[in-house]
Amino acid sequence: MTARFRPVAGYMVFVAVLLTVPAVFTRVPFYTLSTAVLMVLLAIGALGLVPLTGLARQVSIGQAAFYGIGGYTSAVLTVRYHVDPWWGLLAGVVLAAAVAWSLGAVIFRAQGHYLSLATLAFGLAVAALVNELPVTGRNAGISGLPPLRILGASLTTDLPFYWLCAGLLLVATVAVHLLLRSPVGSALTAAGDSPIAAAAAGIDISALRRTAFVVSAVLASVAGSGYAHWFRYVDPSMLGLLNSVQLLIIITVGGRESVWGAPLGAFTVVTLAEVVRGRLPGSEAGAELTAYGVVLVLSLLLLPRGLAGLPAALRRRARGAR
Amino acid sequence: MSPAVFEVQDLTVRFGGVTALDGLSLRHDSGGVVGLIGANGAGKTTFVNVLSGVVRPARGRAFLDGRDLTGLAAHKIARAGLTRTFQNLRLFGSLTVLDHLLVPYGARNHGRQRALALLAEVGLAGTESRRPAELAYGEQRRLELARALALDPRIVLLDEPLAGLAGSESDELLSLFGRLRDGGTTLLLIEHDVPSVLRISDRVLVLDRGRLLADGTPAEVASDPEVRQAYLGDDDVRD
Amino acid sequence: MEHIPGYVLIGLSTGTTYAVIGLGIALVYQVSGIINFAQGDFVMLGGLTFAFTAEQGAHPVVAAALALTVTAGCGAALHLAVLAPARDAGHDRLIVLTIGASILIQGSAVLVFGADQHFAAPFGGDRQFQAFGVSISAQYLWCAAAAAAVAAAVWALLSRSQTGRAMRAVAADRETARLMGIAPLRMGLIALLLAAVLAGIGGVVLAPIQPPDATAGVPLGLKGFTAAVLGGLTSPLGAIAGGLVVGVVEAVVTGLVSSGYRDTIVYGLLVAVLLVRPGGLLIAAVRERL
Ligand SMILES: Nc1ncnc2c1ncn2[C@@H]1O[C@H](COP(=O)(O)OP(=O)(O)OP(=O)(O)O)[C@@H](O)[C@H]1O
Ligand SMILES: [Mg+2]
Repeated sequence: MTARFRPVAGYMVFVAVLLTVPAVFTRVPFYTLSTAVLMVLLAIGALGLVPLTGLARQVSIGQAAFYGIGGYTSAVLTVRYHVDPWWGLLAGVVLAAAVAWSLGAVIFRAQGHYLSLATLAFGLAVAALVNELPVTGRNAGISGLPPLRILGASLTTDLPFYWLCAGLLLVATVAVHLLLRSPVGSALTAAGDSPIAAAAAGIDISALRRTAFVVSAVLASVAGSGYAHWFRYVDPSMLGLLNSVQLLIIITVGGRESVWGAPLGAFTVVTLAEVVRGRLPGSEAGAELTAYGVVLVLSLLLLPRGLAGLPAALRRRARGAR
Repeated sequence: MSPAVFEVQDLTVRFGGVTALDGLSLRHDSGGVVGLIGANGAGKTTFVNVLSGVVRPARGRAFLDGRDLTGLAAHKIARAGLTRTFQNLRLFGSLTVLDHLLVPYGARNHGRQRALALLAEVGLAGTESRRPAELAYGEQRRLELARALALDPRIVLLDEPLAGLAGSESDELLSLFGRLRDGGTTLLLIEHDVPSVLRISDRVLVLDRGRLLADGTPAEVASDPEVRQAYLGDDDVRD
Repeated sequence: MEHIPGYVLIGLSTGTTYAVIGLGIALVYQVSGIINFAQGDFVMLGGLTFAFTAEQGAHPVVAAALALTVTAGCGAALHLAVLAPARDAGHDRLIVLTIGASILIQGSAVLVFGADQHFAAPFGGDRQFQAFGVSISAQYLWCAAAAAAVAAAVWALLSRSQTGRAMRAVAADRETARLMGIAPLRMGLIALLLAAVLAGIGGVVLAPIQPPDATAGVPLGLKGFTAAVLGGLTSPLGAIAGGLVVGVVEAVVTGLVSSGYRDTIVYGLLVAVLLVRPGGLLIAAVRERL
């Protein structure tokens, strides 16, 4: 297969997998349609980290804030103001983008380390705020969200909701893929490889990183809104630090530099969480955290390009062995 | 008086206790090749870093064509027509050779043909789909140079562009520098190989512990007793 | 308003712990350029080991010694097994690695100690003292004493010992230090070990006041970051001052506004500091040679 047709083949496999998931997940043990929905939503959220973390090498530990902004905007607008869910989702996207844009305007004047610290602090500050504000329902959260509707039909059950999310994931994947292959993608890569050389080549790295940050915020927000309308309930745990870390794990394990990293990572991480839950001795939270920590560290040390980079790594090894 | 091609006034840079540039002032009016020599640690790279916006000076100002560059972001300086290469190579490890020449600001407008021509000019024809790790060291150096030229700069700061190159390779590059100068680009050439610098430069600056030790035509500098003693003589012993 | 001196006193008391954590973060960052997201978890680990062992009936000194051994071992393991093998990775991977280490430590702590809080008795018995109209646990005196002791020890190490000079050389200029025969990696190990022990000490003296559970490290680490960043991130002394400032801001905000918005404001403060000070921070960031 030539390199030229590899993306097309990739999409054929991807669509085939998305189409067969409902059939497979209802027939094999411990996978259910809800796990499938969760994986797809997490994949959408993690996808935004490919340009930001994978290419521009900026580590955000605050994505749960945008996930939460999406979920809570949807919840507040639909429950308190009876806005149509789609408008709620759109408003979440706009708000998340605006917040990321303004935050990015100042954060990216500094170097990489500070982004991680600033996003971490920002995420926790937003989480603490949501926990206190009356409009977000304090620690009780907001319940009774309406389901999303398409062509007049409410998506109240898992199957139609899965199809919707799978469609969104496909669209998001294509969009991010086009971004990666555009001049912006090469510039992001350059800025990630050597920020100083990129700047010396006239690239405005702060603006570029900020753009990637906004993209990541938008996708996290979409995932958050989707989750809120599926679960019909939001609470401050949505903004928990572990959710931010989980997206980071997904993209690291799956592969940060490729759009396929997000779905691969989401599948692996959700599967892993299901496997260790109740199977390892001790409490569930402990087992889950430990497992996350182990796969994160191991994949960074042994498989720096993640699962998506595995075929290329194997090809290289095979060539080297000959 | 028309503005200088570049000018610095009272430029001072400190790193902790080290004063890398110590009140450096100079102006250059006429283009051509300006050689910059000096012992290890004399402040040559720091000078490039300040002009290109990577390091903020503690004091002093820098101008390009009369425009104040001090405090300007590095990418704005590059867009204003001043580009540079790096002494320790800083290539984009994940990008192809061709992409290195398309990524710089505005370079894409010149198109692929122009990028390929530039590659041929520096002797990298045929390598366009490789990545830096697949290039020989000398080729990597030339890619640094080509990337700096891709923005069509008014002035290029070359930080030891010949280091580690074989004699024939460095002769080719020296003649490329000559062609660039004839095309109107000003070059600031930092180089440890003093004879090469003296041969190609129109003006030579000698930096010593952050100060200007000598400044003049190659002939003047080569005969300056202080330079001979402090730098050229030293150089024989050291290398 | 008349309560402010009291709040400041409370703030200074809690701030000493943040100072110790921030000191460890600044040390590691200065020497290896790594932001160690697991620093707060070392504090948790130290406190939890101490409280848990003390609950089992061990003598407090034995428990404290065990706690410090565990954190030191964990710090060494983090460096040798995780950071050193990845030394050529970019800082982005290193950050994610320390995040991985952080959740690994948290998870293991839950597996070993359970998810619940553990309790340790205050060192000199359960006493309070009164000042400026507030009542403060006497245990805070231990915290302050520990902070002062470690600050003095770190200062002595950095300025008086050969190792300390080597560490400062690596911090100032890695490449030159390497040329002078100093191994930056070994200095990184020492810095991380030191940071882990500092965190362990902080955890032990804090345990009687804030009974630790496995998640206790996250907010502590965050406040340590704020402290370190306030202090310029590479300055040990600055980190200590920063820790006290964080403590005071936190206490005054809690006293005057409401405890509910405390976290929002303290984390908001970190964001604000990062946003306001990038100029000063940038200088530290251009340590790499071109
Ligand atoms: N980022 C930095 N941090 C600390 N010190 C620095 C830094 N950059 C340069 N220096 C110091 O400033 C002085 C001047 O260094 P510079 O790199 O400009 O010298 P140079 O003339 O380019 O030397 P060489 O011929 O070795 O390239 C040296 O003493 C160097 O150690
Ligand atoms: Mg130099």
